[in-house]
Amino acid sequence: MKDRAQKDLLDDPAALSLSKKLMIAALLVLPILAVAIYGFTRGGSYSSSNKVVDWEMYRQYDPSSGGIPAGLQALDGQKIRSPGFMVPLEDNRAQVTEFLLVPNPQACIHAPPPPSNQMVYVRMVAGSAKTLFGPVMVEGTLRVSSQTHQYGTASFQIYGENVESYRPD
Amino acid sequence: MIGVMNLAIRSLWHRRLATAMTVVAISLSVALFVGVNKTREATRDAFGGAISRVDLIVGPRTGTLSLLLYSVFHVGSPTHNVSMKSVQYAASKPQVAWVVPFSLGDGFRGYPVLGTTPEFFERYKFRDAETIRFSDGKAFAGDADVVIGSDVAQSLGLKLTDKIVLSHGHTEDGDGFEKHDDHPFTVMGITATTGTPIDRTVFVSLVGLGEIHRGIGESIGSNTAHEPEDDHNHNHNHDMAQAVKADNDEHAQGSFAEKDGQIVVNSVSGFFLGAKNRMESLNLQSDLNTWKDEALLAIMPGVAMAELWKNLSIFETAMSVVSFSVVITGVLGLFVSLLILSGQRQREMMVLRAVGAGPKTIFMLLAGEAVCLVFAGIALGLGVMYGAMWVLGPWIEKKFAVTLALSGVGTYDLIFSAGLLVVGALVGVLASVKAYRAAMYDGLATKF
Repeated sequence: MKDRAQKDLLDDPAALSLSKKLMIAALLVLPILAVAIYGFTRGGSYSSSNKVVDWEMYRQYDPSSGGIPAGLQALDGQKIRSPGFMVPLEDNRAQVTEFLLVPNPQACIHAPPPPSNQMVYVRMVAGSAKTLFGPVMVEGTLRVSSQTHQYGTASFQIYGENVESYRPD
Repeated sequence: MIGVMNLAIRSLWHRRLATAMTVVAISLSVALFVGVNKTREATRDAFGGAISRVDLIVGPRTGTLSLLLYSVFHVGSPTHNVSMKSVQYAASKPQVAWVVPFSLGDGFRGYPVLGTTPEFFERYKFRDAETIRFSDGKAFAGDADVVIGSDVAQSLGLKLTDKIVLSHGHTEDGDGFEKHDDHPFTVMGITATTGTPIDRTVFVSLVGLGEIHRGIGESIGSNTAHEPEDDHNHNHNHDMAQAVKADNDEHAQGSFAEKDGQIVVNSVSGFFLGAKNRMESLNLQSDLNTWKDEALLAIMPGVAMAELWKNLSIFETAMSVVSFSVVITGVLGLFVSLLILSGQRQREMMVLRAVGAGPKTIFMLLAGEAVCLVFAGIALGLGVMYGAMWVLGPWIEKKFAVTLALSGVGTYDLIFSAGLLVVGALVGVLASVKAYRAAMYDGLATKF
């Protein structure tokens, strides 16, 4: 008798199709959502493929003579990417609008601060970036200027558009 | 559709008590979740916007966080002073644009007194480089003038030209017993609300601060090295004050000395510094930290603040996990009550089926009921939370220095509510599948 009733129920097309549809939809949607979210946050590659300017290139600039090597000069005003660590200058609720980009984390006090050609001043042009403690990749427009001041410093500036966590290859 | 919703609401009303309990359970979890989230945002706001456009905070050598906490948030107290010589040394550096010294440690009816220069009001910025404005009056000019924060003015009912008497040393619950009635201060300005510790601070000139220490101890006592819980302790930590390498002045025992009846400032709690070029912050920091003449600590506010976030994030995560668990408990409670109810409602289902309600209608009814319950729960929860914030907000602000912004229901709350509604509907459908099956079997089966 019971089997019969169960069977009747199973034959009811509308009831089953609706609940089944819901189950299947949930089963399908959830993993897709999870994968999408995971992919969105982790992502396999950077969102941009602009030229990477690394610390070796910045080092080619000689602060004492003020001469900017042709390779760097050519990148002035170009969109580039640079890896490094953040030293936040303005912090607003764990968001940073201005920071110095340096080749090493600044938690270590055993060495003097990086020389002027190993420091980039980054100002976020569009809003702010999340304050990150690990290595980052900054994307933006590079400005190379040979203004001289106290430490014979020329400055590298990046008008930052995007900051991502650094991903080793 | 409307007919079904109508039926759902009537059916809920029929089981008022169970409905009310379920709604209360959901609303509690919603209120807790939203409350935790608001508190987190408010804490971030209170801390995050407190200082801006200051490149270095320099103080006696301690830890970065403790220097940040007492210089900006007036939490904790400094144990050493910085001599004016160091302030002058820093100011004389060519890459330094400005220097604003400050002295802490005294209080006025529970509010910290900050001795500084009038330049403070021009240089010290908050949030996104906002300048301190005055809702009334202007910055102090003379040594008998005082500027008070908006909270101080409001809670103590002070207005312009009122005379107040500051005391030496202070605690949260009261000031020192040595009040200097012979040196009253006149309220010269009241700052506009900033949502930062500035609102709860009393500002005087450094010399003015010296005046309230005139005659304390044999010379003039240290203004900062006091015991927070014991204000009438007259043994004014002279050892500590002496440890400060001050000028060669023979009276240089405390932060202030008296010379020909004039107050001379020997040392301060620290100073804020602005560089001509922000790129030089790192070099300046290293220069000051390694200066041989006095042990100084220079910190970059942004870096120290980031460090603070890093430490706070552990607690934030813990709070989020707890509040999220409460929401899960609420949803589980809903599920359980729907399941139990479904057992009791087989006859109802049967009757509905018999009068021609299709399976879809039954599902709509049950899911609709669940959605109604969740919706009522969310509405009640948000109502309770925002009501509580509205009522308790001023008290929390005064007590914990955290401003709960009544910015209305935020996007985050809306996303959370929508998500909860969807989950509620799903839970309702899951419970209804069981009810429906049972109804089909028990209701239509021949009973022997």
